[in-house]
Amino acid sequence: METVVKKNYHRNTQKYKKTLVKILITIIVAIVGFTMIIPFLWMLSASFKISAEVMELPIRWIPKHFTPNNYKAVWNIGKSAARDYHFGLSYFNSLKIAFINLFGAVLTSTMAGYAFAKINFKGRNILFLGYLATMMIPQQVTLIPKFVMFSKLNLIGTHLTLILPGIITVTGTFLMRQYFMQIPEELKESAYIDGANEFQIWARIMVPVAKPSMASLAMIVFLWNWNNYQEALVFLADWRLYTIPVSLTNFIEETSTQYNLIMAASASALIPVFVVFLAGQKFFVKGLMAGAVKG
Amino acid sequence: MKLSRKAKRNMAGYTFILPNLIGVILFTFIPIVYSLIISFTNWDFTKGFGNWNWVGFKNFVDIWSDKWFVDSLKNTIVFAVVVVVFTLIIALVLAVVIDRFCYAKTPIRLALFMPYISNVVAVAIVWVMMYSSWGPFTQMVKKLGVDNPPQWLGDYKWSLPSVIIMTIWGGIGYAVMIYTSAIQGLPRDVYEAAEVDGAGEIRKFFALTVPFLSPTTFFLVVTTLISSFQVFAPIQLMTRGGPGSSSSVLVYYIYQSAFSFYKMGYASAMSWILFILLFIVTMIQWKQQKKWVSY
Amino acid sequence: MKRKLLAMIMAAVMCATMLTGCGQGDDAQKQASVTEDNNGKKSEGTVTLRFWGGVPQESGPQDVVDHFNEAFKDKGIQVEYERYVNDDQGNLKLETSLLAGNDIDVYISYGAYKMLKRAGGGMALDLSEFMEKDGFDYEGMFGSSVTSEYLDGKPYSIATVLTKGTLLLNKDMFDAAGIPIPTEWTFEEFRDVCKKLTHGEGQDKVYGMFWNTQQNVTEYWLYLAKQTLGGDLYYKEGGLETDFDNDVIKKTAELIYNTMNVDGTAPTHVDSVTEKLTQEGMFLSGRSAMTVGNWTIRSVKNTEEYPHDFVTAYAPYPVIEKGERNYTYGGLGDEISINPKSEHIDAAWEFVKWYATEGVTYMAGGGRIGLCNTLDKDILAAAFSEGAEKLIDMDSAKPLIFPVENEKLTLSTITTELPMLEKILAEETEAYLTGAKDLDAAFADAKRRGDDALASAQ
Repeated sequence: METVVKKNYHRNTQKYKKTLVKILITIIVAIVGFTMIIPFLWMLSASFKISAEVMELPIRWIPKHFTPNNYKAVWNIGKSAARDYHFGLSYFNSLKIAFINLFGAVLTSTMAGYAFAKINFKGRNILFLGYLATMMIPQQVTLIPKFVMFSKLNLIGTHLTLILPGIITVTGTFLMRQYFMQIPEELKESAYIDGANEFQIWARIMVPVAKPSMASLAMIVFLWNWNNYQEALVFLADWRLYTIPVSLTNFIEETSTQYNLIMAASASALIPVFVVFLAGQKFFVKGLMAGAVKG
Repeated sequence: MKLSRKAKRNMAGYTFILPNLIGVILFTFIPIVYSLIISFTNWDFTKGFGNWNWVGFKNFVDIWSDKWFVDSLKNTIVFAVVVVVFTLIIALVLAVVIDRFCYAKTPIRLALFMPYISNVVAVAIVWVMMYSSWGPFTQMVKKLGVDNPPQWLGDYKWSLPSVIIMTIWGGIGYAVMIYTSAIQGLPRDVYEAAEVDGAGEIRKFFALTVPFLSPTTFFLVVTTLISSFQVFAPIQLMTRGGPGSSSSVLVYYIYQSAFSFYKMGYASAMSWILFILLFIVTMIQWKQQKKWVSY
Repeated sequence: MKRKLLAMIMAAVMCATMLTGCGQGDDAQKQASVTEDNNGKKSEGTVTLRFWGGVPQESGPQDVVDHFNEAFKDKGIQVEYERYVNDDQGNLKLETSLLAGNDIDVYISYGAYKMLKRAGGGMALDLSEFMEKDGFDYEGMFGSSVTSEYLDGKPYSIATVLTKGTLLLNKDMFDAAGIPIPTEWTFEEFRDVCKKLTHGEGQDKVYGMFWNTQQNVTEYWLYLAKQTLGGDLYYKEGGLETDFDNDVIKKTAELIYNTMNVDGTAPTHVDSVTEKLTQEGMFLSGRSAMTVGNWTIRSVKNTEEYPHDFVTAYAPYPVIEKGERNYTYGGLGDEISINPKSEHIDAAWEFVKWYATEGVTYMAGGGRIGLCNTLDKDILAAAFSEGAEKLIDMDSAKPLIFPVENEKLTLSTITTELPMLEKILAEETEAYLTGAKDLDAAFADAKRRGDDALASAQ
């Protein structure tokens, strides 16, 4: 009993010390974090400015002519824009593609990543190296061959040009493989002895454990698709199919760029990203608890 | 019908990767093979697909006497090495510190992630403004007593380092997130055992965290290296490779060759040099990982 | 058995993923056609042409399309405009779409280099037969200079506008300094005017001139040299050698250098780059009294985004010495072509004809002056300044922006490796303007490198 009390006392002073250190570290990290928000703050500020003020130096954080007109113009509220940019439609297209690809890519990557990490099939390593190799050719030179292929398949001018390649991701497969590598072999072996097959092991044991990584992957895949510009630009040749990054080119004038409109549109485009990020963070905590219960 | 365990394993393995494999072959592998074929031609893509002349290894020979290629290659290597080393070290430390010693984890992680999700144009503009003579960098250097502060993005010596600093700053959030999700999967009991043995934080970090996270580190090294070797947007937005070719990088030059100079064959040849370079580096890491990655 | 089941589940999952994808894609297409129906643009027997251009809809093209659709609604031709951005990315998009097939019926190229490139690649239709058939007198109506844009003696496009380059001046600043609006001047006179107009310090400094070099480090100042040397100033006679060591080019570069680095009457190149200076930010905010190029006219009219109340006047670019003005700076532009893969070539030709001789009028509001001599100059002038009559000094503008009989334009007829030479000249100019190299060294290097590039192109 006595030793326990002593230990508790000892723990308490340590706890206070720890709290103090924690507060200090939080402040330091928060300062680093703050520098990372600056572009976002600038973006918000610029989205309420008139064109003439956007590029002013030194930066004027509070707009002199504060105006919500940029948002009105981008979303074509009250027909205030010089023309209808069809931003709402682009927004819908982007959401559709990003979410289809998110679910598709997480599924295919989790499956393939598991196989590459935990099933010792023939030719696994060679195949995986081949996978890695495909990441090493810059997309600038595969763009045209891809384009030619899609036009032969008659897919140019549809969203399938972004969805079919989008539900597969080598980086995602790689990420999931590395995560599964980290999981102890015993977890699988014991299930195997209990008579579970590979699919059951994957679905019942591996997927729940992999949730934090799947959440990261989901966020990243969402962002990739949300920001995919080059391919969307070349493959989608009709404004009805445009995604947000392509529709941003609307705001590039002949000799100048309306950064205030670009920023208003980009700020609007951040909302789903926040939602996905915060949803993903929940899995971080859940994954932790799942691990704790098992551990 | 009875299959040996080995055959079953092979079948399960291939079934798991099948959807992924089909996608990779169709949408990545085939275009890459095309790019290899094109690298032996003088193709100008406006002439139509297949309308080219074979030039043998001419492109692969010519590039070595091309100042732009050689400069860009050097810059790319410097860029990639510096970015990978600094991004990953800072991110690993931050991820662990945030996970163990911080309050308000989610807002801080979100803040770190902001550069990654903010519109790349906004990020670039803010950094251009930061580097201008009105920005904090010049003011700081002036306060240190330097009469003739560097012109940063407009400076032959400083333009590449300036972009490198921005890239590291922008890439930390992504690496922190990947590390964080991996940290959630760490076996807690091992840490508790170490604590009982009286291991300090620093000892735990080097003896447990670093080895446990090595599969994730391997993933981040490979993917960050590849994406740094293929850096494009910040260069295009901030310096356009200038002044002179002081901040030109390979993919930027590949892009110009293919689409401004209409030399797709030449651009493809450069991409394949980039590929070989990346492949060798990745193979070295692949061999090395067996030593330093513990699964 | 279990393996089989597993395989089946996997296959099903995969199919489901693919199908969701496909289904959604089809939806998008259906949706697209529904939208079209709602707009009433696709009715039985009507041809809808897809017309691509680089000008934002509201700067003219929407007017063009509306007027055409009104005039041709009974003739069964309608037009829909799609805008591409006239930069590297946008041109890539246009060219890949042309490669793919018949998505585009009619499109506009900007500049002879791009247009001829496309014509050479089979992306533009030879128009000579159509012109002959309809008695369309291209050279008669558009001037003999259009032959400079022929490929193997044949027209693959109609050059619809004349783009003349001028300086834009802040007339209020000139008036306040007692300087008359120049109609002819030399480099020395220009330098003096810049000095007179420059005053103030730091952030409040008002510069005489803004060269806009951060957007393109060579193009704008070469306008000055072209007035003496003509449009092919990159090349010596015959086009096998570059002309970067020409004294006119060097003296012009020196003028830019002097205003930036010696007189301090123009923002330096480094400042322009590192502060991302823009013409709107400098000229329209009253921070420079002059700027290069008259394309900013649309921003001049947009007082909501760029509040200002001074009058903008026009002046020609200066020349080295009196009597060295051999050419009028200006070229043909907005070349309209037909996609050979179009399924509606005859309808496309109808539209092209109408656009070049009539439709282009509606582009004047965006600062584009039609080339065809049957267009009414007064109507063009009115459209040009419409909505900003008080902000634009048309007296100085008229003699400089409209076509003049028999003027010698700075047409470019040689384009060998042009983008590469531009990059070389840009790098060496940058080295000179930032002080990394002196004048002779920079342009000697430019010539050496340029000649190498031309030699390897042979």
